[in-house]
Amino acid sequence: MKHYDLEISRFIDNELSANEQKELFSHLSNCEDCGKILSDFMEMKQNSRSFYENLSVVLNKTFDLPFGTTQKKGEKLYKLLFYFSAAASIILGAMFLYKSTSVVRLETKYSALELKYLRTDIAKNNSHQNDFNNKSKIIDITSKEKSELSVQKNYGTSQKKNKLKIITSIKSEKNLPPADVKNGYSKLSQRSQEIQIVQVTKNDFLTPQVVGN
Amino acid sequence: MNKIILQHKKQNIQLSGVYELYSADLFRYSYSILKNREEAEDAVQEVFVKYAENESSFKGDCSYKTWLLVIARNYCFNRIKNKNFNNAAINDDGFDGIFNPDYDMNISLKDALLNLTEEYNELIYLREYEGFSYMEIGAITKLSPENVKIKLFRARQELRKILKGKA
Repeated sequence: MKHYDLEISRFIDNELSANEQKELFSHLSNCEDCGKILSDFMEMKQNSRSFYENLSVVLNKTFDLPFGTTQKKGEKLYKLLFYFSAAASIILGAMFLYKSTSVVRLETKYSALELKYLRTDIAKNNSHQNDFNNKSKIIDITSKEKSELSVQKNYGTSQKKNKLKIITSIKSEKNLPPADVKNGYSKLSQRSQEIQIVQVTKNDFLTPQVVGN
Repeated sequence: MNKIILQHKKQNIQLSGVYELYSADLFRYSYSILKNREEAEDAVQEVFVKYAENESSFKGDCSYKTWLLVIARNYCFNRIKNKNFNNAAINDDGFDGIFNPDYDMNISLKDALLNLTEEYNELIYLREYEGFSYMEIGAITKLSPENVKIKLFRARQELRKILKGKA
């Protein structure tokens, strides 16, 4: 005999049509097994319901929406764009200020006279190689001053920038090992690729000559 | 900035209302899948955070509750897939002391439900407690109504078998 357990399941879900219900009831009157299934399913339905109804729901965690989660995606995009443009403005502003300051320094701060004094000062204190770093100075010169110094382009650097680095602690050109010169230049070029480097030695002041890079 | 804070507060109040309304049922549903009180609590929290983030994407083609149940379902099954999920959760004793001690069937039912697969358990919950139709259950579980009908029947058969075995 065919059992109607699937139909019983549908019946307790109220998913049977009137005709199907009639057929099921007529079967149930003759089938004890299906009657038992119906009884069990009904009991399970009732108990499952009360099971979840009586389940104690104690949500210990308080609900508080983290700030920022309510923002729409569009708002986030605008916010990002705002920060990006603000950062770009700051960078451009800093670049503009830096350029303006350089021009002022170039024109007013260092004259040829000061440069001469500086060279003399360095020449007086060039006895120790350890003072290399202390006596390294960066000064700005004008184009006119640069031409007066007759900078030699021994190391092939460009002279677009009107900047001059004066290095002391070298007694004479003859005693200067080429490797040291190279190291000296490489160190400086690591710090700033665009700074022109001019090496001033003691001989430069005897017969004014500047080695440029 | 104040406008953003005000908007945040306003949405928090709205969300609190939704939370009051649905959190208990979301907890029960999450519990039916995860079978662990702590995990179910976490699920409810996650659902509402996700709800807050994606509220604008709600299309209105189903009820709020159905939508929240779908979010909860996705979270729960992802959590089960996660390697860190605590399988010992099966032994969680969240149902203790809740039922009438005179009614022995409830104790058996608790064990039986905890031994039922997550899929069958959620179908039992959605049908018996929520009273959803096959169509509504299908919308949540991404099953066809025909499939829901068959799986629900199998879930009942399985539950009955476990209960008989216990008896």
